[in-house]
Amino acid sequence: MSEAESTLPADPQAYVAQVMDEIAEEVRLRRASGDMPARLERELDELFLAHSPVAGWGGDLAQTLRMVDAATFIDPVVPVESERAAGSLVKKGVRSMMLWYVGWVTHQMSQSVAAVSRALHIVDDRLGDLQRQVEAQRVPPAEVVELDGQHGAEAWWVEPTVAAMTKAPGRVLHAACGDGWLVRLIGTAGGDAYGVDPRSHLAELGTLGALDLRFENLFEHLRAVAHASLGGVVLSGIVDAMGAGERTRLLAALASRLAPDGTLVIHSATRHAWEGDDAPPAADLAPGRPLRPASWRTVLREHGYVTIEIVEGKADYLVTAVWDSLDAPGAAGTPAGR
Amino acid sequence: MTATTGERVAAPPDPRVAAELARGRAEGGADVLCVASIEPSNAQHELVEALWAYHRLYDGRARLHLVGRTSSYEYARTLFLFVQDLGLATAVRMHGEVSGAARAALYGAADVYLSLSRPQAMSAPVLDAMSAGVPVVSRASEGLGDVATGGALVLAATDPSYVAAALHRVITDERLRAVLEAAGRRRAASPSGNAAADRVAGAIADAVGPQ
Repeated sequence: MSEAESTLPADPQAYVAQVMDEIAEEVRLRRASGDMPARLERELDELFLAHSPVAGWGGDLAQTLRMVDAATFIDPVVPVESERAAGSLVKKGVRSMMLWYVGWVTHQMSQSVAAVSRALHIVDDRLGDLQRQVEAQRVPPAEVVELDGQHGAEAWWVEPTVAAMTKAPGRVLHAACGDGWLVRLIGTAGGDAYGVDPRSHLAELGTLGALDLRFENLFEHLRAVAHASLGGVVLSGIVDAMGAGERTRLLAALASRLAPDGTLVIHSATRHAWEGDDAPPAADLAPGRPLRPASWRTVLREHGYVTIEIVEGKADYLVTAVWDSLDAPGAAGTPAGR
Repeated sequence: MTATTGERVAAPPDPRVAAELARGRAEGGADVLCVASIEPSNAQHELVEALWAYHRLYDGRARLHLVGRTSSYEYARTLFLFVQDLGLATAVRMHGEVSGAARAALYGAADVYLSLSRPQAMSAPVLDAMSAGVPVVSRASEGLGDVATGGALVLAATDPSYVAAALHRVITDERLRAVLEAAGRRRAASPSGNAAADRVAGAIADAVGPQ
């Protein structure tokens, strides 16, 4: 028996499975301890992209098209400079011999690229027209709206939420996470949570610590999340101001990202509190207003949630729903992100 | 004639390359190897990110050897600048395309073979690594299966810290190395493994002609 064979475990497959679990746990602990903040890992990708030829262009189609235009002509006359004495002469000879052939190929390529470029310009013009028309009728995306006393460790709905999320079958996402107060509580209770928040002034507070908090729009974040990879999602201050279209889009995105038996927790203000004199101006300016608790039951059933519990407070309520992948309409999604 | 899986890694190692690698090893740190053309789909930038995380979390002396011709000069240039920015210029060695003997020396010195390629995890170089007894760590792929069928440690994620933790475990855990080595050799020796690698190598050799 060789030395390598003598160290083989009795059940190699089980040993590898155990190792994979231990690796995942080590990564979780490293992140929690601040040895490797998630922010640093994200910055690596940004640093790499900063060196890319298209860095800094953002979504400027016109600028990208200018580069396409500049690259339309393909030069068949290759440079012949050489560091060797006869190198230039040899290259010149090869170029002369090949030019009829290379020239014919590059001419066709140039024509092809020019046609594509022209088509892209037409698409750009039409998109511009459409954009102007849509802009005039645009419903603004809902902002995060938090009513006083409803969002913080002392709120009544936090304890049941933390309890539900520590049993979630995977990582838990909290939106909008603010400075990470709920992420911290879930972590302390033994869960694995991270947060996203589109409000930069709040997200930056948490980013300085060891918590995994991301300054991101929830929809953009979900696009990068792999299919069935979230064990739980907590939405607080997110859905209250949403219009019907945005709310449906969010539930559809969540359905493909939640793991089977994943838990969705929604905290919302009541309509009465939303329309109170002490509600912030954002409540008045929002494209939508909170649903009544019973309406959530109907909406969530339509999206494939089976077990739905609603607990009502004085000025707010909590919806806890378990997602059933088999019943969900259009639940299939494609893996996304890394 | 095209060399087969076993022949490619059984070639006598280039003594000059072997000596250079031995000098590096004398200073400590592990050698991580990847043989694949330098292009976005082979994700060499993610290998660099993993090395950066490995340096930060485990051992700042580890080296990453990237072997393969450049298919995308823009990508290679971006990768080069990225490596400089991360302060890994001495830890990441871009060998370019190398001879069979130099490749054998690299396989001989490698502690672990890391592949984060997207299109095809079970490539000829991966099978070469398995054949040479180098533990393989790879991105999940349809062609790879699990360690029993694929012979590699299949990563559940490719975040730099996750890949670094997997590398550290493979480098330091003798039992895991033994499992991966045995599974890799089995896979490389299997008819499907050899045939796949030889088909790939044969197709490339036929396309480019004799060297």
